[in-house]
Amino acid sequence: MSSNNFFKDLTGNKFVDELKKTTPCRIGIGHAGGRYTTKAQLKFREDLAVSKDAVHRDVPAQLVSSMGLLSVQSRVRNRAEYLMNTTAGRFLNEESVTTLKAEGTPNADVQLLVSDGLSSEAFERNVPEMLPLVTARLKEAGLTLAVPIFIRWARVAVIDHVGEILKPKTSLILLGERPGLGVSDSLSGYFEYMPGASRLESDRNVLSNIHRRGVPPTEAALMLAEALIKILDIKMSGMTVRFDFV
Amino acid sequence: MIAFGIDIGTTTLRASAVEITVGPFGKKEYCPLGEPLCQFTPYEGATLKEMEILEALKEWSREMPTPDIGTLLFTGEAQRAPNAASLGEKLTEEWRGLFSAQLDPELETRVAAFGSGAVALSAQRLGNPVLHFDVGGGTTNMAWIENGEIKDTACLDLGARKWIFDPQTHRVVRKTRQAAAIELLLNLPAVEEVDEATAESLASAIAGWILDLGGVPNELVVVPWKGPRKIADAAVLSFSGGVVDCLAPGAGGNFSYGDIGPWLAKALVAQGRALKKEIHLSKEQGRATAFGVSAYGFQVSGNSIFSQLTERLVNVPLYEAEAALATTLPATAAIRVAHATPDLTSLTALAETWAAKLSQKPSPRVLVFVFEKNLAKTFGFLLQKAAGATGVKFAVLDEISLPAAEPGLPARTLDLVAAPEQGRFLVTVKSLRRF
Repeated sequence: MSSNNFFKDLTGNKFVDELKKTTPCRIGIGHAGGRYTTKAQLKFREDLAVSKDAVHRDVPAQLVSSMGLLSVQSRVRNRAEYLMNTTAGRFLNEESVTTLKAEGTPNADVQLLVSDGLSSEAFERNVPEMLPLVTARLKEAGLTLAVPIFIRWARVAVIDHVGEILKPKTSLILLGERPGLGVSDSLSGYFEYMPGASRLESDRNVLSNIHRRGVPPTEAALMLAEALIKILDIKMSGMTVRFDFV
Repeated sequence: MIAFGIDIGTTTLRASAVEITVGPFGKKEYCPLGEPLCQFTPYEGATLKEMEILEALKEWSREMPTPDIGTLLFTGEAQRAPNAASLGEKLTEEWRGLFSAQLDPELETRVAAFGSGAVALSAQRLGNPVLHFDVGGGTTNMAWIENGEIKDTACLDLGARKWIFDPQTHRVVRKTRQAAAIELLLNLPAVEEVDEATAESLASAIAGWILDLGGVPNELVVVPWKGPRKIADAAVLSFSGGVVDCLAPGAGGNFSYGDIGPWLAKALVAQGRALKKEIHLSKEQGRATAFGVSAYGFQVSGNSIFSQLTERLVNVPLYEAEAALATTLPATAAIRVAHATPDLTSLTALAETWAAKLSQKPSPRVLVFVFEKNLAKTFGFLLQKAAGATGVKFAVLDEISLPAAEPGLPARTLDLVAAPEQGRFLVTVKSLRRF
């Protein structure tokens, strides 16, 4: 059997069909000669369009205010710069620093941060369900919570800049992941004990793949809340700490 | 966690112990402990010798740690022993209600296929079907496995101990009903003495039937294949069971077993090789059933649980969610929630429905929810908020796949064992039919 026929056969293969049901990945999509089939090519373009929308669309200001979030912005000035200059997304701009000093909550047990990151769709679909659950669980544990903050165009490391300013004991940032061709609404939650300028990437932990077909957002909210309670208890975070979900 | 598996079969009584550790991502590792028990099953006519079996198992378990979970199987002729149920109860009492009696030939086949490693082998031979044979004294269980999944099973009334002869004189001392049927089918005179040539001839014919999937005489079929199965479509033939143990007979030689097992084992392998098939002989061999049932007769909950429980629960009756809402529940009950929507509104509504149920009297004291999806923390948290005042203790486990209850089958119960370090639960489903 030539390799050409082998791959062609996979398009009607029951086993491959079963595999395809378990993943949005492009497996066994067949081909016409050296090219994709028209159907596969059209699906590719459709998914690419959804991903681009997720990256380029802004989170509605009304949604941010309705959730009681203090809204600030990174040093990035526009979407194009956000995509090109990753460093600028790791720091708040001067106006935001002033806002935080005036309206933020210093020295809390937990500082919650949310951001559109690379997918506003991930924010819109997941954060409204997650934030009330995280907050409720942390309050039940008797922890003090700072005013939650929305940071437009942020990168993960902004957690340390905010930490430097407000000095929380722990911090969690929920932000949209880079969209894939098939999953454009996936969110990640990074968390850290004593965030600040001296912290390294290895001091953070992450729960990723939060979306309806991955880790359900409601469940992820409780997992992250319990992880925050744990790192506050053991006074450390990062690669030396194991969680059930990592 | 220590798991016991006990298989009381037509010919042999087997028991094995496995230590199970649960690693990251719920990955289970199995380590067999000590020497498994393997001896002839003692009978008085068709009745099992209960005291002898109990003593043998107690003696074997003296060297073993205390089990956390366990499963008991009666297979082949032993299922039909008039005192099988009574022996099952005695064993259950001896090991504190840990065991469940599993009497289904399909389950026996599935367990042997898992325990022998045939399912794992199939997962490594993607696209190449594996045909597994568990050949015992009374029955032969067969499983058709593709890509790590058992697709079909069948059971034949064929095995090595249809004629039992004296190892010294070779005279037949006991003959089963099927032995006479086989003699008739082969146009043989009644076998009174088993010499080398007779054993070879009988074994060759039986092996031929076993390997000729569609051509077995009807009277020798216990459970037929559900789909059309041809040996030509199988890439690998895998063997386990007591007969395969006979491939290397001990110092006593072929006649020492008092049955045609050694000849049958050789005939199966030779005929399989003649068909140009890859042959896989299970390393666990005769222990496959016992090992499989101890290792695979339970599930580990996912990494997300909500639990107010501190002690192991044994024999918890399992209800479907809808039926449970409409009935009065016992003091301890388990609820299967198969189709839960993961959004906050739906889960809150579900928690409130259950809070209303629990506020009625009488209410259970302990309630275990089992979700197929990863929602345990959320539902547990919401239910605690809604029903905290009722005083009911509850646990919510996730990622346990329990098939829906089937009409005509006995009610199912669960055993729950909390894994101390990992915060997960081992769950044994009794009256289990599928994994």
